[in-house]
Amino acid sequence: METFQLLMGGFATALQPANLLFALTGCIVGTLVGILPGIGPVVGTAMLIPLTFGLEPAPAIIMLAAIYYGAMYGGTLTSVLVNVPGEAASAITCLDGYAMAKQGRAGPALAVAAIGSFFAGTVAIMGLVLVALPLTALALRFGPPEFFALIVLGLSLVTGLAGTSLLRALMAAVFGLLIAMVGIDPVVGAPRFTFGVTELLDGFNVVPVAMGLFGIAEILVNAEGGPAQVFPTTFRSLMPSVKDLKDSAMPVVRGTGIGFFVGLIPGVGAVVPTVLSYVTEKRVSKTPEKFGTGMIQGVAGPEAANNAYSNAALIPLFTLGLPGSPTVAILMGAFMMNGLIPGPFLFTDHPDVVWTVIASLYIGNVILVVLNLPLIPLWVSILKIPYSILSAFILGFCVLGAYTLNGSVFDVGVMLAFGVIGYLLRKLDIPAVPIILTMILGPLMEQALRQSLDMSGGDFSILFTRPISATLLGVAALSLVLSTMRFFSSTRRESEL
Amino acid sequence: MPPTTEHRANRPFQIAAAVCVLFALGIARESIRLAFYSAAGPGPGFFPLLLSVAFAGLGGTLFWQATSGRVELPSVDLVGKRADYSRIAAIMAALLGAMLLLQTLGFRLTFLALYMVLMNLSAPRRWVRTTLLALAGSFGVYQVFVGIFEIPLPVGILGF
Repeated sequence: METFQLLMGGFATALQPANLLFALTGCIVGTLVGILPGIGPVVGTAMLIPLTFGLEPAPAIIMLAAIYYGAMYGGTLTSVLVNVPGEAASAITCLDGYAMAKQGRAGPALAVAAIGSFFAGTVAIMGLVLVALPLTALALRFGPPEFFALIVLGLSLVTGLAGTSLLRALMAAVFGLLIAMVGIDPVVGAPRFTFGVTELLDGFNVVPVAMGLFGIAEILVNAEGGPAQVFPTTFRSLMPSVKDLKDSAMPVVRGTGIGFFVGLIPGVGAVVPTVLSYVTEKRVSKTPEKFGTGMIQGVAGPEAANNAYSNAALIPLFTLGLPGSPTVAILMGAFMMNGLIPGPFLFTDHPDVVWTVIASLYIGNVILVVLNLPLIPLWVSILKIPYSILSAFILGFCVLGAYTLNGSVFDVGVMLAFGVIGYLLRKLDIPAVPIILTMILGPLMEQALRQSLDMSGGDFSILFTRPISATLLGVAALSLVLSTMRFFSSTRRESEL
Repeated sequence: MPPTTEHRANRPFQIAAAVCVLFALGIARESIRLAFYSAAGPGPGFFPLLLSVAFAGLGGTLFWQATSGRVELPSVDLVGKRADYSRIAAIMAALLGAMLLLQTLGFRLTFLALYMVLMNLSAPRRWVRTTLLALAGSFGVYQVFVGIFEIPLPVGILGF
């Protein structure tokens, strides 16, 4: 009851006209920044912190949280409209979102992404209010062995991303893991596969790799056959049909659950829940073979998972002072700049500010959906630009985006190299998503395993004797066996037909 | 015996598989130079070596599939459309040129040239439209990034 009263007090403050204006401005600026190349939610939020200088703590955090939401939706726009993910977590949205855009259904894809994100954000904020503390206690029981097991579970999902060939999906996954080995070894600090190149000490940045594999490769594939119009000149519908909404309902619910739980575990990252959601939808679908060709479920689930994750990642921040993702770490910095130390005492020392921020998170969600649904025709009109111009600007923006990440042409070179690799992969029908997934999870897995073995003095049994890690590894093994059997049986059925 | 159509279709997969195996062998060779195991558990070379062996195995399997024809592979046409490959090569050359000239010529001039080239590749002889759009994409974008967001972009030897 006391929590409810505090929340209502937070809403009363957050709904003041000035605070609403800050939230609205944050959503607009965030969306615009999210659309710009190379500026994902992390960079966008960090870059716009100076805008909040001079504000009181509550409006400052309200505006930054709105920028965070807006920037994430901006990343979705570029994924759906031009196949260029603004950040790694949006890469999975490219698969069916861009395919829908090519069929003249960019509007429904964007609308479902906005509505799904709104629902997920609402549920996650309710979770933040109601079950934050007990769930965070559970998440805190995750040590390196449990973390390793969770990542193995994530990697076992690669089989679910296999299109026509399990072998080629596995090859892509192992290739991604090999790419992830480049750079400083995470435990003893030894350089690996750097060949004396200083820029390689930090390893490959995921964003230029994703831009190359998706954005550049797409343009190169479209360049075959001459300068044709890739997108339809008329769009079938700008808003989702009743069937679209019906098809999206359960994926949104499942994505929300997945994103919320994963968000409670600090350090997992937003890629895992989005991929987990996509694979779940593919597995429960009666037509899994159609995923990648414009299935609305492939947009609704991951987008909901991404937003639920983003909100749930604030729970460890508020309750334990642990930032769950890079963007949340930026928000944590903004909290501290405003004299608020995230952690167990935040709720007792600054209840007025915390509950105002929580209420404003919800208001930010509402503003984003109210703002973006009417703007969908405007966003979709980008696709009416002649492809000769659009493709040139996509390429230019990819170069600009890769360069601005670190102010280095090296990242541009990496993007171009992976553009060629992505083009060849498309020709050979090898999926690119497993590369991104394993590239992100590989170093985390290696570090978790080596820390686990450090804890046990080199004894591998630590992974199987702790209940949570043993359960997760068991689920991973079961998932791998079942999906492999399912894959081979469906392949056999197809060959018999 | 001359190669059949099926053999020709599978050749790209044979080449890709061979490249993967060679790549894996190169990684394995480098991995051996790193510590494989220590008292505290796996060393820096542990994962790369295992992964390179796995990658070589997967590459070998793909080569076997492509050669034996036991598993149907999608038909890939890597030769025969020279005009397409010329266009792709021109796009990549333009992007590579932009990358190499970015620091020397600066963002504005490099991107002006890049957009002019890219737009003329797909819609030639529309000089007025191309020039205006290229100016917006280079000088205009520079103003937004540097002037509004204060993100530094390179200025070249000519001051642009």
